[in-house]
Amino acid sequence: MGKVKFESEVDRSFTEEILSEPGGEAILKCIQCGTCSSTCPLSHFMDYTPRQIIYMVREGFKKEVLSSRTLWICASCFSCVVQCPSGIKIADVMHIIKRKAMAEGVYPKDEFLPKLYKSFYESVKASGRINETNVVRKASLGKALGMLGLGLKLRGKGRLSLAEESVKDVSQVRKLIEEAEKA
Amino acid sequence: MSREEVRIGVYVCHCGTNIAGVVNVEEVVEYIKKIPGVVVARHYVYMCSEAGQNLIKQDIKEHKLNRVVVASCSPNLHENTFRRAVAEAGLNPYYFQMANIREHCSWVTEDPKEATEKAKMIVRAAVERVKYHEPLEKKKVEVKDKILVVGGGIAGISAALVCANAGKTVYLVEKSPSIGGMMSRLDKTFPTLDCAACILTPKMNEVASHPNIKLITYAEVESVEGFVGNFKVRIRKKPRYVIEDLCVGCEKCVEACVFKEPKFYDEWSFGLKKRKPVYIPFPYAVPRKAIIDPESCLYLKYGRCKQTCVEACDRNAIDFNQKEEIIEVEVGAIILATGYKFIDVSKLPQYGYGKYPNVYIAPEVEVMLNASGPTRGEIILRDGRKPKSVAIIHCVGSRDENNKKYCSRLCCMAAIKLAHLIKERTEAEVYNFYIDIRAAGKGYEEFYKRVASEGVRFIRGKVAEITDVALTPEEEGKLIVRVEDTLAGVIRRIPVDMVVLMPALEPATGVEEVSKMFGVSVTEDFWFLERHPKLAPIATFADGIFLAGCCQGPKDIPDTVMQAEGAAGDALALVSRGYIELEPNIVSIDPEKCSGCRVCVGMCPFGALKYNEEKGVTEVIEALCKGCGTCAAACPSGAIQQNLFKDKQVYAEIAGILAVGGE
Amino acid sequence: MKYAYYPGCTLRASYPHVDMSLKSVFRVLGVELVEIDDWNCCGSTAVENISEAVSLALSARNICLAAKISDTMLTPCTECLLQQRRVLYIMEQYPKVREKVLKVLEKVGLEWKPVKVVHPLEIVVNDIGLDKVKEKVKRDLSGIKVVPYYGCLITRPYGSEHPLYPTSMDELFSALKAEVIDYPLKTKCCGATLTATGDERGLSLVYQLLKDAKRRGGNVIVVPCTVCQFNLEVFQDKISTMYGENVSIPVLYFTQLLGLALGLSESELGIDKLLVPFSISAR
Repeated sequence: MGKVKFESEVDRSFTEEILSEPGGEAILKCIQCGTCSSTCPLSHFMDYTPRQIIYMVREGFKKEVLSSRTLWICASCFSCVVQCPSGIKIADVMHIIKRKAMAEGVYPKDEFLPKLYKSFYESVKASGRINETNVVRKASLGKALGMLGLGLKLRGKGRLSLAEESVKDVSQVRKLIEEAEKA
Repeated sequence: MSREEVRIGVYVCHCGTNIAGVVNVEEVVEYIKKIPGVVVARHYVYMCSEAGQNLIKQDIKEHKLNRVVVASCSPNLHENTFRRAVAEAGLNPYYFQMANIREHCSWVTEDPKEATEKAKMIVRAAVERVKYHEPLEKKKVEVKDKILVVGGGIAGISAALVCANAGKTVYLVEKSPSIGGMMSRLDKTFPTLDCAACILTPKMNEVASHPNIKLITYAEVESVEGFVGNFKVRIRKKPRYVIEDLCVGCEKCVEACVFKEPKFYDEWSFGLKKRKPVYIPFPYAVPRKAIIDPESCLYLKYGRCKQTCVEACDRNAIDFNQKEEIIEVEVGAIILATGYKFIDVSKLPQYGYGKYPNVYIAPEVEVMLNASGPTRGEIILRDGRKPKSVAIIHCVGSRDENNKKYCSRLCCMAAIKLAHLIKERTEAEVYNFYIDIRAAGKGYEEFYKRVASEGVRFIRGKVAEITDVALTPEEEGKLIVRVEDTLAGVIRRIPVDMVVLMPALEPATGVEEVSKMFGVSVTEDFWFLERHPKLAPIATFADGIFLAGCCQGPKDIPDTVMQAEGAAGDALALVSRGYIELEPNIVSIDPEKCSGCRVCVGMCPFGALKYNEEKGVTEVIEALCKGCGTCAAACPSGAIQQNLFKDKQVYAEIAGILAVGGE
Repeated sequence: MKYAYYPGCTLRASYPHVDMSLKSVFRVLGVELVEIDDWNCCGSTAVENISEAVSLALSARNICLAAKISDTMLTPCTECLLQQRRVLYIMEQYPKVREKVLKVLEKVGLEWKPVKVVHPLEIVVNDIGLDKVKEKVKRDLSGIKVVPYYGCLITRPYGSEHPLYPTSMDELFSALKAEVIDYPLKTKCCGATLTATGDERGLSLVYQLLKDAKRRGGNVIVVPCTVCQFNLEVFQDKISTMYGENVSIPVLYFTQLLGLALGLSESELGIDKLLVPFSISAR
């Protein structure tokens, strides 16, 4: 069949979902100038540049967008938001897409951050606070062990704690999160 | 107002089927015949036709009608037609009233019964109202036949020449010491690569030597009073400290100046060159007369100098006692041609202008390419080197919601021209970084292809920032452009020796004062507002004031000249007749009823109301009144009455509507 | 001046030097910090990337708690700063979202009262003012070549300075007589969470920052962001190995260097906790 993208492969409902979130509708104004990619400090590592992601979202290329590495390389530095001549809040759009990707469980399996985010979220849900080291460890023991050397150095300087933190009114925070999840 | 016996003729138009297809025109006629005052009532297929108009004229004579009502379409279309017909029959045209039963009735009502009832109301209203109409005359106001042109760039020059060639006296006022404007800095123009000076200087000289043009340079308009056809303008001319009639531009004074080396900021070259306190703006300046800058001249600033310039001048043209001059002129029409400037790019620090010496803005490069520039037309960087690679960045500040939302229209072509000239003179690798190439004019697309064929590199990607932080040895000591090559889909880093920014255009300095002074509105970006973006791009809402060139919006030289000559045409049309006629639907203020509260004065969009301190009442400048009715509605004491919309007339109209259905 | 203090989860666990130096400096400058009782995690980008509603609710709770103490909340972590400012912005600009958040807060008995959210650098430069700071200087920083690295989030998207070329920290250290290096990469992202997990793509960004700082002759990098302090400091060995270049340079949280100028001791300011040592006497 060659490399043809048929209209049946394009998912307009994906586009509509993104457009309906606050800040999402602005992507219709994108003139594809590439300023975002030019200023993004990590764009040369991405499989699709920020400009390409915005375009593909607009057209409904759901699979490519959700499974891209770009989402997990973006550091949310907001340089793109500051510079975009069409006033699109690109970093915020990235967050909207990332939520979709996390919800559908679609992301490159060798990217660590999605796992980290899940572990982080679970810790906040459980106790209202997090311990950085434990969150990393629970996300991937291998990753944690890989940073063992650094960890010991920091521990020596009193900059690494393994103590689990918690708010006092845990039930209030848990209820807060539950209600927010339902909203 | 006398109430002689009214004899009204009513004509209900079918307008083909436009009206008659919905409204029962016969029923309307039958109804209106019975109303007191109506002597004749007819219906006819096309009232606006010659036959229809003849009906009216005949009836006026035969039935001695002294009021006429035509129920047909919108007054916008045929009010004048019928007024003319009435006038031709010997009746004052303002005894005519139009009733709109098409746009207001047949075109917007589906049910024929409802439409017919509504038509009766509209016609009855017109009939009741017209009983109170008065005979009015258009007022003739004499028009001065001189023209003022503000701004001496190519727009002002073109407009002034057309007006002057038509035999009118033109006052051309220019803020800087020489005319020529932005075009005087260019080396070549796109797309023909004509030498700018070669095509501009003949026009500049024509202006200087034209018997009908009074060239007033180094001067600004200080105040404008009056109204269309009769403007009183005060011009303040700054002292050059050189007597223009005596100076021949030999430049001996400049040579002899105590400053051996020029060291002051030179306006014409955007600071690329320096000048002395006494200078001639540029070699082909018009007028080619010396000028002394009081801020840098030792004698004028500190009172102490050998005055070697005075010694050197064998014409005794230098006069340190020269004072500013106030020139008052009376003109019939004004053309604004105040031009544009570029945005301040230091507000965009990410491009490094002002920080990295080899980042330039386009106007600086234009001056550099000019044979009268600092390097006699060669491209030489601030550190003395010739660049081997040059990046030209399109859209710096244009098409940008954080700066100017609009496209500045001429920079794509200017950038392509600069690319060609730079490459020609340096053999450097030239890159143009763009979002879109806008090449819509005659010969523009062809020029783009030509320059691309010469090997200039076009890379589609907007550059966000310029950096000097090198990542590889080849980048050391260079300015690096990191951009997404959107067409290839890859991030690229391109090290260059020189960066040229194409900044957005914005209105010239001082437009806010100019707009207030002349009463001309501005857009949110401070371009002067044209009367209609499509059909009236030259006139403004201030009668008698016209726009030419970039002050109305960015445009290139051919469009500027086109608009300037159009403005000249408009100005000439206005002043050539010798008079203008004012519609009589203006207001009048009864001084007995006016309390001097001045609520109306601020409301008038046309500045037609003026408070008379002595009399303690507000008065109307009839020539400026456009009959919008705002003041009449606002006046708390009912002192303001508008012709054709007097209270009596309006109440009669309302009574007419309410009367229908009551029988 | 009393501020509601929001330390954030990681502060005392991983950044005791930031917590200590901040408190010591503010003590000297006469600023009272009252820690918010029972603050919760701001959620950072992790929660924002899973649920917008939960992210907003978490920050909203912190603001409600802060409001009980003061009308201004202070946080030294710029990620927390971003999250709290974001919820304030959204509550103002998006009425539909505002309704939802208010309902959630109501269900747990919290009353929404917006507060101002500021960063210590903003307090020092704006609220206290450089003149007052200069008065308290005991030992000026002349001879020290300071590289001011702001990172991203303090100036964007909700900052008050130029989002790409801010000058407040430059001005602060100039006032302390340090030689402030003109550093064009001052707001170029350090890679945030990506870098913090040791990812080599993130580390390449840190490499550029460190290399350029050294190239321009800097003795020390000062930062107002805890994550930047971590990212720029703790991976220097790894980066030196990766790129075969020595990129070692001390990285201090700005209150640590400011504290030294105010005459506070190295131990009060957690200078001994740095991985890359810094000594004020070694110029």
